[in-house]
Amino acid sequence: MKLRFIEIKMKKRGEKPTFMLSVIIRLLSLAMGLGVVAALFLLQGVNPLLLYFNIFRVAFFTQYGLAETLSRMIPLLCIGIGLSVPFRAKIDNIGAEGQFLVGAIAAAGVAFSFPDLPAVLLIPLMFAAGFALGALWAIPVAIFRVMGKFKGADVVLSFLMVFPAYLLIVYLVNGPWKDPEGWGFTQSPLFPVNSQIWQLPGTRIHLTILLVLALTFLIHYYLVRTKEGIPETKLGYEINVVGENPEAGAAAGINFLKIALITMIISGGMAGLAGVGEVAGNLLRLRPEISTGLGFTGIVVAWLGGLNPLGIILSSLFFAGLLAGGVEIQMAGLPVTVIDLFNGSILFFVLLAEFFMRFKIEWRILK
Amino acid sequence: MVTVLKMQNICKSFVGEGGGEIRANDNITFTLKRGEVHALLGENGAGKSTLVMNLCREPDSGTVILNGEKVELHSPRDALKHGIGIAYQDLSRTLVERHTIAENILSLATGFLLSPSAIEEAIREALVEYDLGELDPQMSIWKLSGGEKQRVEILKALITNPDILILDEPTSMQTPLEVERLFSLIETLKAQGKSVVIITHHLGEAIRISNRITVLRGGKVVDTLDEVRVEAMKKEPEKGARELAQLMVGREVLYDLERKGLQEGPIVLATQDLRVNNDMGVQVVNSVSFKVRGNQILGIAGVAGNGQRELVESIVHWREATGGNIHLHGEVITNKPIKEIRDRGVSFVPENRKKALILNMSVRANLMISYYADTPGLFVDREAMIKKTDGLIKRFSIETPSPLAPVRSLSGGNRQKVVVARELSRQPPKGEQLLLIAENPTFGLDVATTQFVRQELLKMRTAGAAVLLVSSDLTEIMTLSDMIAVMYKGKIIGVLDASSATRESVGLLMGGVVGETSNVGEDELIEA
Repeated sequence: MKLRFIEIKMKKRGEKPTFMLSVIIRLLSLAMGLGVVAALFLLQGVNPLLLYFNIFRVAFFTQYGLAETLSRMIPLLCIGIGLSVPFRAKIDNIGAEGQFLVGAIAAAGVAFSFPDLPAVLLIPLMFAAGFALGALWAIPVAIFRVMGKFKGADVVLSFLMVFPAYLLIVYLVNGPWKDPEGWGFTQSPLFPVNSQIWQLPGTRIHLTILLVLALTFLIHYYLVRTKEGIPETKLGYEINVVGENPEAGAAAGINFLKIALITMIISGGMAGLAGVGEVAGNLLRLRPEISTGLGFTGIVVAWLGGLNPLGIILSSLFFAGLLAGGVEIQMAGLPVTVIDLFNGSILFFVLLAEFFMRFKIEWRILK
Repeated sequence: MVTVLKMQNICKSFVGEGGGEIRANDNITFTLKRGEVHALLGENGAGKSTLVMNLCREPDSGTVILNGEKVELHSPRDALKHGIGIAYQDLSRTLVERHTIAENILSLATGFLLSPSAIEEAIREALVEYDLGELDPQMSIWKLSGGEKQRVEILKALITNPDILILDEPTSMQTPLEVERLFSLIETLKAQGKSVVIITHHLGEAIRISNRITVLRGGKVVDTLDEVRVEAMKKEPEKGARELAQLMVGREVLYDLERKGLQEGPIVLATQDLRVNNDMGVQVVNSVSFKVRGNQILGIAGVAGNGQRELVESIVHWREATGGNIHLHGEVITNKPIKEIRDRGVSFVPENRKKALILNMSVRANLMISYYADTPGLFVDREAMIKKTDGLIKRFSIETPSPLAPVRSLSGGNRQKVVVARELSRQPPKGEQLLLIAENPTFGLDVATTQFVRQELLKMRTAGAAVLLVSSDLTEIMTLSDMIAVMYKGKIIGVLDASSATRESVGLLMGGVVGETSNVGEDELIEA
């Protein structure tokens, strides 16, 4: 008896998949992720199609929902765009959550220290501090990624650095920045008026959205976009080289540590900016649970967007919609943490899609 | 004697990186008799390892006949079941670095219940029985030296007590003493009626140990030397080595290249007692000193694997030099950052194309990697790069549908042209000569591209560059070099002036046979 009756071969694709094909592969992976979650909904006795429809309707076709979607999009886009930069250089930063949290801490620190500065000075100062602290939180990851003995520890390290950031907030809001009128809630007092970022009246869409869109454009223009196959900057070119073949990059004399540091500073800094925007523009207080996993969702946002700024705008909109439409999930009688299910299963299939971008499967039946 | 193993009309091809087909085994027929040691000789890429690998995976076509019966061997386990023990060459793929010796050998055990202590006991017994020296079964593989790892691999092949033992370059990392031990072990096995296939490219070893020798070149059998001829060689090993070297490297039909006589330029590169380790941490370049001048091609001949790769890689600091010095234009550049070395006018055409090319990126992006940083500032000078890369594609007639096509879509020859175009067009700093290091620059190329690359190397020489050419292709060395240095086991064992060198004299040195002709050159080289 012959056991082997089928032959399956993985083959490297000769050419990169076309733009259309890559979009189709990603959309399929998204659909599969939603499919898996739908199966879980069914097990809970919830009609997934109806639920998806309601989430979609609330998130994009109600005034309140759309405003909420755009408000949720601000941190997701900021984190996702930032993450795409090291991801393109094959550096894994899964600690955006921690970088986001320290950004929020920096914002609170500046706001409470200089409450009397005029807003035009205070708010930029908060963003600068948030960027700096976020970047600082990310730098060890770059070092661990590159330095001899630690190779590969970057994933673990970037993840572990989330927890000190979180515990630092817990400490601060229970200690030095405890709200005296907080009735025992673990939170800081309301941010001083001068430090509050202007919101579109009646919504929670704050001005940070302009900053984020500007940064998205800058990263697209200077690092990603190519004309005649050549990016605008040397850094953009080097990131591509290192991401495609780090050995060849090193052989040509590109300093990997430099690339790792710069990309991680951009990534950590942008997560920090997102943290500033979130506390100063939306929540107006520091609390331990400010993030609700935005930093992790940002990873999925970046990959689903194909690490391309324009794609990331769309994917961040999609996930923001899921978050905003999340009320519908609760209405259906499911816990709101179901959102994490979406994150996980979609990331799983999106990463699988990356595999299909590089390889194709061929099979034949053996005679 | 009875034939125990016959491999008949074996063909095995691989799809090369360019989509082109590489015929690694082209209709090879090979027989192994009971109680004989049969050496497989050939250069890198000749198809030796591919041939024996066909005993643990299916070839594209051809049959394997074991003890008169046709068998199909799908996996290493099948090979074991049929009494074939194989010690593979690529240890990084056969030994699990993080596991202990015992755990590695445990993978061969049959049955459901595995007993580490029983395995350890069996290993200790086998070590004594086969006289393989001291090895602690509980030691992790990564802690072992290259030679020890090789002994573990040999032990792995032996411990199942196979009738046929296949050793793929078992001596490349062993000390002379260990080689002696291994050879006496092989003698013992032979006396027990077992059959051994040994793959090597050390000619002397092959003559000493084997009853018959099969020489492969380019995936085909060049010749199988029977017992009578090998016996004759044993009496005159030098003459035998010469004969084998000729069979191995062969003679290619090429048009003559024009080589003008040139005045030698100043010394560009000089090394002094250079010592370098290979990936396994074994020192494979042992105190090498030489110098290359402008308008000169120094050819480093030698059978692949004698330290040439490590030597050139240490010059551009792809690899750490562990001792000695490298001088460029009189200044020490040992272990300086790669960029600094390259900016001083060093070009490198490596054999390792994986490190030279980024397959997923465009031809243009690959060409500009040596030029994009020429202008100061943060921005790429796009206009200049387009002009430069389009110019290179035209001048070197790289066949690509567009400058933006990924290198992956190019044929092997055109990929090499990309590397050659990029590296040969770099400008040295004003007033200095370019140093061009070419490591097997025509390996795997068709005749036309080979000719083209060689002509370009000669043009560089005329233009004043100092060229260090490493090649295991004797024809290439003979037609291009002004001086020929021969590397053997990590040392330069002879230096010849190209005008007086013959294929024979170089071939002999490549086989490790030091004659009188070589001494003069070596002295001359070290003195400066």
